[in-house]
Amino acid sequence: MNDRQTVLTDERLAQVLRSRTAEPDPEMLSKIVREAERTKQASLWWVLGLRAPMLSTLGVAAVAVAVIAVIAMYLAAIGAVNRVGGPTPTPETTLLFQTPFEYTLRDDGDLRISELGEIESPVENLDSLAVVFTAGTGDGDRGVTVAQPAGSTFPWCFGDQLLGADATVEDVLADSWLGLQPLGEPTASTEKTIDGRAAVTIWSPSGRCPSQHPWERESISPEPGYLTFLDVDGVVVVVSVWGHTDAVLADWLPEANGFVQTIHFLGGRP
Amino acid sequence: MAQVPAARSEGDDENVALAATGDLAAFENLVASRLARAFRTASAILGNEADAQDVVQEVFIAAWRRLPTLRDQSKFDSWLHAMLMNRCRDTLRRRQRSREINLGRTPDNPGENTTDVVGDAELVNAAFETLSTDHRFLLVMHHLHKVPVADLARQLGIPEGTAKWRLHAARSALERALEAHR
Repeated sequence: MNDRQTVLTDERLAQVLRSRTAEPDPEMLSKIVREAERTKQASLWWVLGLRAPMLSTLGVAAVAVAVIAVIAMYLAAIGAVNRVGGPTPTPETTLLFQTPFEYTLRDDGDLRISELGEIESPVENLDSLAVVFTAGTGDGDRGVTVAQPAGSTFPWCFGDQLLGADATVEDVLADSWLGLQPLGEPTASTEKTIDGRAAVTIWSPSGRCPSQHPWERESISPEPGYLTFLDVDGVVVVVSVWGHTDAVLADWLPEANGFVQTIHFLGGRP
Repeated sequence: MAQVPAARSEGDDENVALAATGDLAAFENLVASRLARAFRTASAILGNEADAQDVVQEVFIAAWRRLPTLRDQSKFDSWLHAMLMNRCRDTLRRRQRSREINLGRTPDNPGENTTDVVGDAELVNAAFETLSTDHRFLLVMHHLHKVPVADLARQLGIPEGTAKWRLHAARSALERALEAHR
């Protein structure tokens, strides 16, 4: 313990971070290369597809048979996982504002995530954050963000109102969202389901939140996006599919919607 | 949007493409230009050289193995960063059971008032050790490597405003932890 006042300036922080860094062993590069030399690279069927002209007809047929066999084994494995009594995927467990909240992604969801570049930012310390995770292509142009708007210690994009943890989807839509002018009026809403749960999707044009604090201005969908609100056992969750521009979003939407449909919520508050 | 800064150099795109087809020399070029920075990032996040060495080695081998599956090769660096962060996260989770806090290392460049700065450094270090991987990553990238917020957002695949907000949250978390350690 220390009763001195420590002023955490940018320079002080940078200095401490520098003190934590080290330089790599001079031999490390050659170690990595040697290890890579012994490591077989992965390949995908679509990679083979790109090289198909180089293969003979017989070779293509052999590859096709092999691919079918692999897919069959994969589907059999999925079936085994999904059968009652089969191995259960380990869920990601998070604590949202003292609210136990769990989610997982089905097997095909995991596959999709690896194609998307993995979940970029599952949040671990949620004392002030509401984002559960953001997945995307890793370029900042498009993504899917899952968050809990109500009960946040941040007002989000909801008219600087702090919604209580008990807020319902209707509260979020009626009391806050619909009255939020800077983001624009929602132009369309549709009903759908995510994980078998009733959900309402709203189109969100590009806009900014009215907050005076810069870090609160762009939270859920600062860029064009579709916000889907649903109730997970008493917890309002918003799933935002966003893109940098309308065109990017339109291109991203089918894949993103496919990903969203792989989300499985294990439960909200007890 | 701005390009991700850092170690990208002339011929990188070609090296990525060649490495994806199994060209070891091209892969070596890619590693050589990124190794030091990746190691500094991992060691700053983890505060432990041995762990950083394991993580960085695993990340580059995983990159070599999975490179043919990378659909957009222009995103190689974002992809590499995501893997580095994930490996750091795994390491910190494993460490939670047998926590090893590496304190007491003196700053490389302590400045004029050495005694006060070292004392403060210990406090800030201890506070930093309480942060999540994501918070550590953001602070290291922005305050150590001086990566602008827009480029951070690009690396993380999130909107710029969200990156700004998360960076603020990371800084706030560090200040709260610092307060708790006083």
